[in-house]
Formats: sequence, C-alpha cells, structure tokens
Amino acid sequence: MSTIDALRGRVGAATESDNPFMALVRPPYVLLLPLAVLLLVMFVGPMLAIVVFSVQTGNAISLSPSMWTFDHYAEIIGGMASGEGVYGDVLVNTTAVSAVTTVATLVFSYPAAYALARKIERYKTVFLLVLIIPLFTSVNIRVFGWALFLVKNGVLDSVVGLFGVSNYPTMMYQRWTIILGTTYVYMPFMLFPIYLSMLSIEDETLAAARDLGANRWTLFRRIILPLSKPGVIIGSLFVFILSLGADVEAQILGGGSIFTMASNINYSFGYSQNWPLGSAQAVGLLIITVICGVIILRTINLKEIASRGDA
Amino acid sequence: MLQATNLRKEYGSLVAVDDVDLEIETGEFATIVGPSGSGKSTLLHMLAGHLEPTGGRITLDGTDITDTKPQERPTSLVFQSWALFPHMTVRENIEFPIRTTGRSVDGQVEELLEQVQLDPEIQADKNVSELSGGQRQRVALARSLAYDPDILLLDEPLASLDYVLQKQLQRELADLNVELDMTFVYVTHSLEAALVMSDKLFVIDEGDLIQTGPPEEIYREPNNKFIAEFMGDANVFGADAVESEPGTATVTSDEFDGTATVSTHVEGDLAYLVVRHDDCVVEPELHRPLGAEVHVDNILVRGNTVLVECSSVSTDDDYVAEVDYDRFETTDIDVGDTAFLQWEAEKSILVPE
Amino acid sequence: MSVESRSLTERLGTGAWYGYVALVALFFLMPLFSLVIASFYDGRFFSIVDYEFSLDWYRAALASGSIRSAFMNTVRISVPVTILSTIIGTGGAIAYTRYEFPWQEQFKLLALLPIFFPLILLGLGMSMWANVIGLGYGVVPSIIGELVWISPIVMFVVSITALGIDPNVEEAARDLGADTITLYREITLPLIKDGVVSGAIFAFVLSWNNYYIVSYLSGAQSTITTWIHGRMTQGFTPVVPAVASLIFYVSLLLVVAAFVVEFREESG
Repeated sequence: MSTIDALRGRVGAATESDNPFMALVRPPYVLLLPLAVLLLVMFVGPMLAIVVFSVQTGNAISLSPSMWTFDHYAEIIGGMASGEGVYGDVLVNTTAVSAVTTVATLVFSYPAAYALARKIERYKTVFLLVLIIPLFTSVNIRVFGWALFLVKNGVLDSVVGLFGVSNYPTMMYQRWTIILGTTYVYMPFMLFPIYLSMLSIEDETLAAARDLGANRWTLFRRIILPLSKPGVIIGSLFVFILSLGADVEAQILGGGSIFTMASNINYSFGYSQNWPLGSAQAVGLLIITVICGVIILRTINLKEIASRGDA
Repeated sequence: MLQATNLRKEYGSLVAVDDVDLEIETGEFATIVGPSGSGKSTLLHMLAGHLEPTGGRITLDGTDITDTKPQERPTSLVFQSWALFPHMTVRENIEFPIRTTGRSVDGQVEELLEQVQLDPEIQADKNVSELSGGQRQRVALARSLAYDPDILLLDEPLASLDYVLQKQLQRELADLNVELDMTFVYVTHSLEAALVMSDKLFVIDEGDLIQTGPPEEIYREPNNKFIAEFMGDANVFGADAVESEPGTATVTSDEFDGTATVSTHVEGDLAYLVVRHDDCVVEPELHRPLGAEVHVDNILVRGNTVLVECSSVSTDDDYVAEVDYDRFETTDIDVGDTAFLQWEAEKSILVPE
Repeated sequence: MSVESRSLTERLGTGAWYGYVALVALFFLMPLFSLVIASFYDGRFFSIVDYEFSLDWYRAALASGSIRSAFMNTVRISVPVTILSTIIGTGGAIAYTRYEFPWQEQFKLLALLPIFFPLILLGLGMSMWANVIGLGYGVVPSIIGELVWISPIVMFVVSITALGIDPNVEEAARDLGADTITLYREITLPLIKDGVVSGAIFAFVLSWNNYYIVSYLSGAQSTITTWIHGRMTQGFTPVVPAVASLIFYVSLLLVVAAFVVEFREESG
C-alpha cells in the first residue's frame, strides 16, 4: 500500500468551516447517532443502573435512593468466602460449569476448526451451516431438545432400549448434564473464532515450513498453534462470559436444584423479587463481562476477517 | 494554466509535501516523478481535491480551486487501482460521470471506448470483472475522460501491468494527450515512463521539489547527485573541481586519471562527476582525457550492446560501461583483464550532493 | 492444497478428519433431531418401538389460541426489530468503515460490546431500567430491548462486507461528480447490499428466537419463546416440541437463504 493509502483510507468528517450543528445531520454522524443514542440509553444506562441498584435497601429500587447499603454484597461475598449456603454452592457450581465448559468446548472445537479450515473441501458450506444453525434457534428450544433426548423414556432411552440396555442411572438433573448443555450451546462461539484464525494461515506458510524440514509435530507446535492463538483467546473468553449467563441450562437440565450464578440471579428477580440482591450478584457478572468483552474487541481485527471471509 | 503555490501537506509531525510550487500549461503532459514515499501521490491527490492541503493554494486559469470539492472540480483522476465500479458494466461505469454532470448519454460511450482502443461492441456490456488488467486500465481512462475534465490526473495507472503493455499504453497516453489537447498530470516512480511521455518533469524527493524542466534537460543536466542517479544508469566519481570561468570548471580526482575542463550548469560544491554507462567505453589503453584503471569482473551480452562490469584498481568501487557489441569484440578484453574505463570530457557533468 | 499423490494413509487421515467433523455436526443436530422426532410422535411419552408418526401435534399447535396470540406478539416484535436494527446497524457499519471521526475506536467498542454480553444480564438490566424510567413492559419495550442486542450484530455483519470494498471506488465516484446522495444510492448501498440482506435475515431469525430479553421485557404478553419456556417448566405437552420444531424449520430455511445470499458468486 502506498503511503497515501495507509494514511488516508477514509473520508474525513465535516471540515472546520462547517457549522457543527449542521455536521450532525450529515454522514457520518447522522449514520451513527441512532445506534449511539440507543446504546447509551438502553445499554449503558441499564448497566450503570445495575450498579446503583445493588447498593439499595429492601426489595425496591429507585433512581435516587435515600438510603444505601452494602448488605447485599456482604451476604454474597461472605457466602462465597465461607463456601456455605446458597452463595457457596453458587460459586462452586458456576466456576465448575464455566471452567469445564470453556475447556470442553476448546478441546472439541479445536480439531474441528482445524479440519474445517484446512482439510475439508467437499460439503464445507453444509458443515458450516450445520454448525451455525443452533445459534439461530432459541436457547430454550435447544436445551429442551437435550431434555427430550436424555430424559427417562426419551429418545436415548428408546434407542438403547432396543439393544436391551434399560437400567442405568438417570442422565438428567446432574451437574454434568448442565455442562453438556452449556458445552452444546456455546461450542459455536469457540469454534468459529478458531476457524477464522486457522483460515488466516496461508498454505504457503505451511509449505515453506515443511520445505525447511518441519515434521508434523513441529508444524503444529511452532506454526499452527501460535497463529491460531487469537482465535483461541477470543473463543475462550467468549465462551467463558456467555456460560456465566447459563440460566436456562441450569433450570431445565439441572432440574432447578443446582444453582449457578445466572439461575440464582433469575431466582432473586423472579421468585424472591429482591431486585437489589439480584443486582448485587449481577455486578460481578457485569464487571467480568465488560473486561473480557473489551479484551476480545481489541483482539479482533475486523479488516482481517473481512479479507478472509470469502474462504 | 494549472498553478500550485506553496502546497503543503502535514500529517502530524510528518511533512509529506513541503511547500511545492507547480506551473503546468494547458495541454501539457506533466509528470511528477520520484521514488516511493516521496509525496508525489499526496501531491496529486491534493490537486484532485481528495486531500485537503495543510497550506498553499491551487488555481486553475486564475480561479482559486483549493477549497472546491472533488465532485465539483474540473479535474478527473485515474486511480492506481483503477477503482472501477465492480457492480456495473463497462457502459454503466462510463455513463456515470456523464449523468452526474447533468448531461445526457448520446453515444459518448462508444466514442470513448474507441478512443482508448477498445471495441464497443465486444466490451461495452461486459461486467468489469470480466476484463483483463490492460482493458480495465483503458476503461478507467475512458471513464475519467467521460467526465470531460480540464485536467486529467493519473496516479501510476500502469504500475501493475506487464512491461510490453506498459510501453504500449505509454505511447497511447502520449498520443491521447496531443489528440485531445488536454492537460495531463502523471505520477510515476518509473523514470522510463516519465521520459517517454512527458513535456515537463517535476522531480520530487521526500516532499521537496528538487528539479523542474523538460525531460532531456533533466537527463542531461541533473541538479544533483540524487537526480543524476535517479535519471538512469550512471557512474559516479568523487571529484575536485575548480571553477575557471563561470560555467566551466577544471576537474581532477583521486578516483580517475586525467584532467579536463567540463561545463557546469549548476552552482554549489561540485563534488561529484557523473557519466552515463552508455557514454563510457572499456579499452586496453587510455586514449581519452578522463578514465580510470579497472579490473574487468563480468561481461554481460545484451543483444546489441555489452555491459562491462568492473571495479577500480585503486579504490575498488564498482563501475559499468555499456558498449557497442561489435566494437567491444575488437578490443579482445576478457574477464580478469585490466583495462581503462574512459569517456569524453563533454559527456560528463559535475554535480553537488 | 499442494498437489501430492494421495496415498492410502493420507486418504485415511483425511477421512478421519471428515469423520470427526461429521461427529461434531451430529452432536450439533442431536437435540434438534430429538425435537423433531418428538413432535411427530403420537402419545405422551415415546419409545422407538411404539413410534407412531402423527401430525396431530402440529395441528393442535396451529389451532391453539394461546399459541396464536403468542405468535402474533412475536411477529409484532420481530418485524419492527428487523427493520429498525437493519437500518441502525447498517448506519453504524457505514459510519465506522467508511469515515473518520473522533472517538472512532471507542464507538466501535461501545457498538459491538452488547454482542458479548450474556443475554440474561442484558435482559434483567433493561428490565429494571424499564421499570424506573417508566418505560414499562410489553411489546414496545421488547422491541427496544432486542434492538440493543441485535443492531450490533447487524453492524458487525455489514461491516465485514463494507470492509471488502475498495475505498478508492467511492473516491472515484466523488471525483467523477457524484454528490452524497448519488454516492450512496448508486455506489455504497448497492455494494453492501448482500451484507445488509444477510444482516436483516439474521436479525429476523435472532429476534424471533430470542428468549432472555423478551422474557424480561414483555411482561404479561407472551411470545413464542416464553410460551415454550412456560410449558417446558410447568406442564409439558407434546404440542411444545411441535411448536419448537416449527420455529426451527423456519429458522433453518431463512439461515440457509442468508448463507446463499452472502456467499453466492458475483453475477453480472
């Protein structure tokens, strides 16, 4: 790219001679204002509100509280620290679910992403479609499908019943059932970033490495693994954050008795109607999400994805 | 006449174009030439209106157009990547500027395609993705001409084409310039292109305009060592020159033998003697006023001429002579021999740094 | 792929890869298969042995009043969301990819951040917010809530397309006399058309299938997804798989259509 292309690339916004208010009605501002306003009012607002509400007393919330308290935080953190009670369980369950889900999705997605990017030629679009379809169906539909599969007298039961296997422990309502559900729901979020990273590795790079004497293991360790790192990082953070919000999976596959952070938040809002308490729990989730989200967004290079997307 | 005064472009602390003055007559084929990163594209895009100058003015026939937007300027730019509209056919691309300027389409597409040596019947309704590089270049040209500009600006449009096609298109562009009597401003790093097509050259380096003039003048009388080397294959010797009269100097050097009087065209510390490869010969004996004793390292036959690569006996610097094949044969010189690289005094020039 | 002769071991190797991906694909499809199987079953609990194919549950689904009203609510939400998110997201994409303005990278951060938020967090945050600012619950709040999550996704998809356009093309159009309206009408918008259409289809399918946001913002109104959720947790009837399968079929068709649009060859 010539120097000029690197330095210019885009049209500058309104020149200094323009009236600043007139500038708002012209591109780019007129184009981005709706989105910006929408997000400031309905995204930033609510997120800040969560923080504000978390320190309010009683069960009610308002924008200008007269009294505030850290009681809710004390309850939560105390419970987590002591490992007892609801919050102790929540901490253990949530960590287990999210950590295991992240690892499981990584382990299963990595080879699939590699195969899709480099080994599969025929039916590639079909495979990609199959892998992306679940993202477009509602979470509870997908989880429900698993319930139908695993439940007593369900699909799995019927199929293995044909082979005479009938007495085995129930598959549902275990902690690992939830993990199966979350792994299923969030695997695409690990697979696609890694897939895109793999696509960026040019055939010529690998051919050159082989030419210089690299065997399969070296090829993997020194070239493929490092070059796929951005995808792995993005995917892992993505899955980790999203799995922290796994409420439906816990409810349906866990039978409502195993509490994760998300399902407990839901409970605080729904059944016990304690919004400040729910908010306090949500604040932790919020902080983690924002941090991971910013890291992901800084790691993503949109231009790169654009140039590889036609593979 | 297109005139730019004190044109300047800064990007923060980087000065891409440093107070450049240009004057181009109507109908002239002017070329801005310089190495990569010299600021020539930046300069061109300021003329086109796509970049806002940090300082300076641009006037066309007396009217100040510095603040005129590109869509209203009577200039049209042929981009390096041609920038054809990928979703349109050839015809639609060419019709675009006709419609935006409020005119009606009336056979101009066919006329312009023929002018750029394309057959309208075959090409006009193809989608641009079906065309070869050379064809796209011609369509880009036709499209810019369809705008009916006063000035056609070209940003290295031939750079990605093969050599033969480049030469052919260079000739066509030169012809078109005369045929249309339209001012052309061409930007390139290729010296050859500049020499072939231009009426006037502007040599630019690191944002500065370092020499202006007709190509032959710059070729024969470069203002400094950089331009001399940039303008073509040349041997450069360090020299001591003493001005005897205004316009001439007597030159001697540690790096070559002999002494001669050479005319000078520029002032300053004339520390270098420059002589072109093809003005030098290599012969066993020193017959000419200026020459250097050399070891012959390599002999490359190039059709009608021979490139003799050699290195100085005293300084080990490398030099090249391009000699006529038949004449060189008569000298019986071979690789490893010692001989004299020599030239006529008036073929060499003295330049500062 | 380099041109090497395909030995048997190599073919086995590639076959193994295909096999693994096929397994993963199967895994992805299993719950959806179960759903479809269950929806065709005649009887309260099914077993493969007694399987009887029946469309009864589909008929029941289409006849039910509560399902119909949930469906209507879903439509009332999804159509405006699709239209609005496409416009808003495309606007953001064009602004980000084709212009330069102050705080540009921060804008991108803000605009795309909602994509990475767990939906439950978005849902409950907006729900509380809706309460205190007097927005309330219902169809309109659900629309606004879904816009918050879906507009960034549209912006992401359209940005990818927009970044594939040579910036010189728009400059050339300006150079050749185009004013802003002509530029957008004849150059910019036609060139990103495929991305916008895919984005719109994604928006529609995603809004249709959204659970968390609508469950927190629709209040008393139920949508298809909240209806399904309600039945799932309190009183299962086989109509539920039928309804869920219907949603799935439509989603599948639309996503395939979006894929075709996004990846088809450039025609003349």
